[in-house]
Amino acid sequence: MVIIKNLKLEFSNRVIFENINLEIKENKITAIQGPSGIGKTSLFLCINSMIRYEDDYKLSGEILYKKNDNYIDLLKLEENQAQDLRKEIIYVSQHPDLLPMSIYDNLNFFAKTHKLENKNERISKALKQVYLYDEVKDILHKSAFNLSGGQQQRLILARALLLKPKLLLLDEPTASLNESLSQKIEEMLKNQNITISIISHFKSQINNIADFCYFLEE
Amino acid sequence: MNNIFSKGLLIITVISSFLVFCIFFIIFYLCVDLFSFDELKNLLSFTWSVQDNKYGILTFLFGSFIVSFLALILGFVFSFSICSIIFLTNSSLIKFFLEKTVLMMATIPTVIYAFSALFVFVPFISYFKPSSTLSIIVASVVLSLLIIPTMSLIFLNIFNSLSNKYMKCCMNLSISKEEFFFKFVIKNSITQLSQGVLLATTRALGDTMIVLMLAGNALAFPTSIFDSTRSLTSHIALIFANDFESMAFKAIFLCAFLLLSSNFILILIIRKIKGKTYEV
Amino acid sequence: MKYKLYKLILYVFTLGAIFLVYTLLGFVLYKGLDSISLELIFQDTDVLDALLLKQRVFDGIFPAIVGTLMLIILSLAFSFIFGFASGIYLSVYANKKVKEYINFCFELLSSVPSILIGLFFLLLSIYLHEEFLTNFLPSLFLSSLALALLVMPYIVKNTQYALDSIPKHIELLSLKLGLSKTKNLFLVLIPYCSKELLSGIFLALGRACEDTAVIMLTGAVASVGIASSIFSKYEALPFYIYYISTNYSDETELNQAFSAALILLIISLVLFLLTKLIQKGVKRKDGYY
Repeated sequence: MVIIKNLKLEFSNRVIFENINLEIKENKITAIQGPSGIGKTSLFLCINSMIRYEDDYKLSGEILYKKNDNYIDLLKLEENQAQDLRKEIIYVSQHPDLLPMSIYDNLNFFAKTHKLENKNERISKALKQVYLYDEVKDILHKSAFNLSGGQQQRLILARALLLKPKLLLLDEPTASLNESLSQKIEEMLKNQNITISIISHFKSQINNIADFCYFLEE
Repeated sequence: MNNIFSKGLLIITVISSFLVFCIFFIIFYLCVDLFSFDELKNLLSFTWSVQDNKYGILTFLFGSFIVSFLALILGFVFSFSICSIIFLTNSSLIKFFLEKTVLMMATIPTVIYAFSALFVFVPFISYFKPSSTLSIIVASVVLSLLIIPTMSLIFLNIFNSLSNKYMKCCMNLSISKEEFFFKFVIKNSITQLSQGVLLATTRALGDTMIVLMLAGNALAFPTSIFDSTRSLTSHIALIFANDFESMAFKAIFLCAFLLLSSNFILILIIRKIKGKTYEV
Repeated sequence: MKYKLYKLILYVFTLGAIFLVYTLLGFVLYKGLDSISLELIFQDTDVLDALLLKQRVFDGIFPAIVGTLMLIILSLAFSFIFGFASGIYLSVYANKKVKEYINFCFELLSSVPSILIGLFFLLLSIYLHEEFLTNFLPSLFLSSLALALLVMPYIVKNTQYALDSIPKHIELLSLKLGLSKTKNLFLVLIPYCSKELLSGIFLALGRACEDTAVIMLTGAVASVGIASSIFSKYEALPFYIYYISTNYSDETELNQAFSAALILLIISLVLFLLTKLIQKGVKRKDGYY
């Protein structure tokens, strides 16, 4: 679904990575591994075109994304086209970035702006998928900042799943979760029928769910 | 050594900060013997006429109020529009121009606004309504220009801070800049918007030159925005610049007291609102 | 989409505001430039003589310019000491509660209408003149005190801000090496943020030179030449502009007022630009000079 050819990224003339060639196959889970600081998050930001908002970056190469049987080069997109695509390509960051609203509103805000139907159902479903529903069903109106790190992480995952993306870019989605929860989430991800690319430090996780795995090295 | 120095600084600080209360108490003290019922009734009327021994200041209270109120509405609309465009525009040229204009406006002397408007706006108004020249509407429009920088700096602050914290998150989920602004930023900056308006109110109520030079200083109660009027501030300026009657003096102190108290109350309200923001 | 409509409305109002402001400023520029000349400033007196204060300038605006400059320098002198000291105390020595209360007092001070500050000092001078000091009349001295009170909140705020934004590690560096708080203040902290403090001074100067209401009540008059001492009345540009606007008899006087307005505008803008330039030069990386 995504074919990356010869990608090179520079920040202020400092090369972050180059000669990146990889493929994210449709409806499969592709894992990306590598040492800390090598640019895995930046790679994901290139795919969802958010790299444009960094200062002083230079990007060269090709990122081909399959849309409706055609491949389009993500690097050559206009800003409003790129923004449209972010409905399909959703990046879930390592550090939970929540809005200053209640737990329910954090999901409802996006459901409303994207004009989703059956909002309440979809929100409950998303929360159940990440095994958060039982924990928060009584405190949905409370501020999302009161949740623990692990709960917040699951919340942003639920937020991404709510919008039914075609490509999900997960940046260490279970870093704050204990083993049993991680396994449940992993099973859930395996059963999703969407393309997933995941950055993870946990070998067991990758062994469990990934169909393909790429190593980035110096 | 350390202690003496810091104690010295403390003394200086305390003196400086309590000067404001000196101002308040002197004016209050000079008003206090006014609060006999007859004199108060005299003061709280709508007619001011030195010959007839009438010293009613309510007209001026109304004048201050109406000019400031109109200026605030117009000023808020202008400020909000300018700050929104600064936020929403994709052109860095427009953004630069507007930002620098707002900053520059903060440094322009009020007397220059008033003086220039005297020869630009007043003829313009009298072209449309020949009977009026110096009027409420001219003063309000120019006063609104004065308070634009006061409000805009606060608005820009909150827009930028919200944007820095939450815009990336929203963009990751395909929310455009416009949607982010109209659906999120505005709702979450209500507190700061009100603070800006209240601060601008203190500025508008306290301004003397624009009303003095542009609103006409008539003593009669105004009946339309094309009429001339006088505010508390311009009344004080005119009386002191001209005559030194004793009862007139006392009326001045009441004007001053009303002005000062309303500004203090506004500052207190602003403080109360400030205390309520937790997350944003 | 409806956002396009909203944006359009916002653009219209923005354009309206910009148009109004620049029309006013442009008119002052146009009329002022048209009639500005040495004659307007010095009138019949020889330039050099006037500058060296040999001859008095009648009908020109030179005394007003000098008056304004003297005024802002004097008011800066008075306000700087108090404002600077207060700012230092609040930033470095005060505990949280004291800080809150005193900041509140300064906020109240900054909300006082300028004419009331003038009124306060006028009343003070009337009272003291009768009781104690016969010299304490409306004068340059009184006006500078009043202006000092007006701009003090700005200086306090600016000093506080400058000292507060020193990176924590610099603040604690010398303390860790055994320097006393006071020595740390004078040897490290103040030199570190000297540029921000300087920009605050220019900001205060700008605010002082533009205020009319205060000086109107405390000593500015229409025509008296250059003040002979700080206890005498004086002329100032803003008051001159106001006076002419209500009492002009012919075209030349009006043009003089426009030139005065232009000069005042230039002074304000120059002070503002100086502030900005100093602030720009302050960009430091990693906390080093």
